[in-house]
Amino acid sequence: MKKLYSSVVARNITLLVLFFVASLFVAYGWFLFVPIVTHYGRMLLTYFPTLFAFGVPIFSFFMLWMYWHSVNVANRYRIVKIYAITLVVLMGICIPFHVLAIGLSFGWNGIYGTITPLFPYDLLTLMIIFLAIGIYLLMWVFRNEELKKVPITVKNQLRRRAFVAMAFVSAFTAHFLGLFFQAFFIIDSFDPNWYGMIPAILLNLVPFMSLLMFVYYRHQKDEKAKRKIFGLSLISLLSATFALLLWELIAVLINPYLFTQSLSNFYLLGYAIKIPLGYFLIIIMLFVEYLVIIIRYCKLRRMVKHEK
Amino acid sequence: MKKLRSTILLILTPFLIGCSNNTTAHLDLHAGTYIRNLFVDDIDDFKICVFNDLHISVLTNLSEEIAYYEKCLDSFGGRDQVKLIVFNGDVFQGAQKSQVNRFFNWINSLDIPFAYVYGNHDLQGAYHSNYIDQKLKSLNNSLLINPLNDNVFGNSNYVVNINEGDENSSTLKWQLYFFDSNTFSGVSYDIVHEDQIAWYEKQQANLINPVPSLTFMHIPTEEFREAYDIIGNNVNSGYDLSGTGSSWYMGESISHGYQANDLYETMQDFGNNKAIIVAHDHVNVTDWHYDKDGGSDDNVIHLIFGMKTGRGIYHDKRIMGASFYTLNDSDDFDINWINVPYNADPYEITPTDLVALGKGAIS
Repeated sequence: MKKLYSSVVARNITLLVLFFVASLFVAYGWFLFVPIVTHYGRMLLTYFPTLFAFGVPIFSFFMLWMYWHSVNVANRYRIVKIYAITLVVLMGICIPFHVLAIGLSFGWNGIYGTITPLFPYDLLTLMIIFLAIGIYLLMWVFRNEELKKVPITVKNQLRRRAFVAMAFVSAFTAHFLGLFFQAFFIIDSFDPNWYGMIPAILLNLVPFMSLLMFVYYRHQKDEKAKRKIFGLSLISLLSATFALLLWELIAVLINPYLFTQSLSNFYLLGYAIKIPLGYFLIIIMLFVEYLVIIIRYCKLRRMVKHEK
Repeated sequence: MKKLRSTILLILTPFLIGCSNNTTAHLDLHAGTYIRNLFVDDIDDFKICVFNDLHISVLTNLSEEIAYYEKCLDSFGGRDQVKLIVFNGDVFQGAQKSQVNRFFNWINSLDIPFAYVYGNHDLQGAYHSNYIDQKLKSLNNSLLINPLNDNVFGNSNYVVNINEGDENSSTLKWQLYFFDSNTFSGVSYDIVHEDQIAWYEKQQANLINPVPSLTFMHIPTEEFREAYDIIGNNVNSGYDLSGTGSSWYMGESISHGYQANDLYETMQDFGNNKAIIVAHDHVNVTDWHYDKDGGSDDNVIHLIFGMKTGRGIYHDKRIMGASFYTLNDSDDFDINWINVPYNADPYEITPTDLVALGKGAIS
């Protein structure tokens, strides 16, 4: 197992799979959050353990990503420790609250099937699995306490700033990627507005593509040939984004009611205040992401030229 | 260059096909296409139960809520008396397919015809925009008519004719109009569109003998605000007993569409419509007897905010339940607002009760 995960490919596949699962949880968690907001938080006490449980996969992704990007053993030990304690504490609170809140709200017997067909038992099982993972890792932490004393020989590859940025970007990206996959469950091929739905659905995939490109670029910046590939993919992705936005704009000009007729299920919270906030958020997010990538790319080119 | 051209063409092809599909002429269907017929022995028996703003979401405990809806249905003389159930918009907000299916299967199992009106939130759920439509069309007690690709904007513009007699020999006594008041226009609420008003004119022109009608839609028209200004003098409750006979309690400001339209004027011109019954504002209950053109008394249109049903999103427990409308042979109708608490017996809300809820007085 240890040998398998020394391979970069195996790590990347694991991260991708975890990110895919996390994206579904984040998108669905957001879908659950909307009724809580529109009910002025009245259901928050009943459902907050569920919301936290839905957040665990993206948190796990982020911690695993940090773990594999930290070379120092002491750092890695600290990451596992934080992850294990968080899981144990979070699930230690969530499980009794989940049982209590669901019992008091719905009664003490039966399957209620509100969120999932087996709710609340499937969510309870999921929470117990998370707790078991947390306890297992915590035991490992206690067994390997000497690891925290390992001196720092290699400077950490990533700065704290990058970790924080990654946490935000991955959470938003997961949400939009989840929306992209959700589309396959909810779209109808007979929708007369399908020509305007395609660019909106595809746009949800773009943050993930740009995140992938950013990660690829960060690893390959020292190689000239791969830098060229990065430049090309940046141009392609930028062009694709603008093409999708233009396509959407034309579709909205043809049917100004496109969003409310066929896309309101993608921007639920936005429509609680009458505007598709999510759509604007994704545009702003992409704009900032591209800006950061372009600035970094230009900086690097300047540095390379200067060195020559 | 050739490669670039083919790439651009490849990208544009679906879009161009889509545009051409969209610009296909919409069908101008015969007025009769939008009509359902119900038959009763005696029109005086015809009782309609109206549910407003259920706001069923993914987090709603439907078992509990369905028990409550049944309590509402039984609250005014029992469900056997109810000949029609109307859902006046926003039944769902943030629901998923399983909730939609369960709710509709329940309502269909009651064996009472039901009419569904789309609200501004019904399409916001984990299902595609035609899902509710497809589900409703598959149920034998659903009265919804929504021809696809017609030239009438929205999803729930149809008419239910109430006939006295049976299918072989009957007389048309009342008509019930159902409008889709649509969702949003920019950052405001939408209105009933011009083509929907033209559709109403067409329906009225198609009538051999004029009959009284009630209109159901979700979002109020601007006339509701006018009535509040003119009759209510902006006092949040009151009973204009010696004047128009209006009664009201306004727990919130009126969220009407983004601009005025001609629906009310058109209805006054034809002179058959007795009431516009809306939902949308959960804590408003009104019965304004409003005559915009100031003409004869028989040109009054009741502007009614019905009772909000259930605890979905914001509500006022003092005015939460169901509204009942009983049609009379004398071209008139009765209104009964029933407050239905979850854990107590239902009771009727009178105009005097409405006054007591606010700062107004009986005049």
